[in-house]
Amino acid sequence: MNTRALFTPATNAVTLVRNEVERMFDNVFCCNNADSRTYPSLNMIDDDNNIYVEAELPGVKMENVEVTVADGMLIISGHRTAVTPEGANTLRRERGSLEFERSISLPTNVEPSDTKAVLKDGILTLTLPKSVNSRARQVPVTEA
Amino acid sequence: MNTNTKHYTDCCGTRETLAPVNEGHVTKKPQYYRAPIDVHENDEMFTIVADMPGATADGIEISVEDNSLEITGKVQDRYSDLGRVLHKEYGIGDFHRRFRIGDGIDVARIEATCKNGILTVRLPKSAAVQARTIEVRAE
Repeated sequence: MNTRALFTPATNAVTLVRNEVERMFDNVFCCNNADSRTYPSLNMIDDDNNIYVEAELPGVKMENVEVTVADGMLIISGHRTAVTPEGANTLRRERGSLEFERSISLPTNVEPSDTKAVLKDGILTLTLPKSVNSRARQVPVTEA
Repeated sequence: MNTNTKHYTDCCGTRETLAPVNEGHVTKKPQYYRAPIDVHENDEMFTIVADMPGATADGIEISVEDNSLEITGKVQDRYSDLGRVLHKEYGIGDFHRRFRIGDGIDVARIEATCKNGILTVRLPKSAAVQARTIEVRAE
């Protein structure tokens, strides 16, 4: 086919199909979807002193993320706006905008005020210090 | 989904196309995760935007062979120095996507940036395609 296809008017059947496909992707991935309850996926790791919670948040800015620790629950909420370059048509959208709020219960008591959050390369890592009573302790064994 | 991709390819011909190759939920290489992408097009170029959390610029590999473009984002294992995994909802591994590209893309001028876990690949259209495009718009 020729280059004319690059500038087909919206009435063209093929363009309609394309728009329909785009809309389908928007419906699947856009912010209004129920997906926001399970997004982002979380991994949790612990060592003697801390619990680490990690989430993949590519393209999310730190100022658009809110982390709350209360009553043994961790809540991560925020948003990401999908950007289309100026003057460009979007041919395929699998990423879309995101608006999310995810909560997870923490397995031990933590010190909420000492929680650290780092967002690097699209990965959010939270370090939650275990409260003193929750930390693993070596019990010294003495000979009788 | 394959049907949609085919439509897409057909409608734009073969010279100018940039069509993602659908390889199912995971790519043909099972050790890779399928990175979600957006594809944008303007008069000068196609732009691929891919979510690759954990990948950095030095872990990105972009290769063009025949009419196939492959993008790979290597992700380092982050957990080996930490403690035990209590709860796991996603795996950590490299990201990958493959595209079919036409002759209308100037392969030598493809460039990419990686920031905040997002890979952006710019694929300029060849001068011949751009010239032809302008000619059509003037009709």
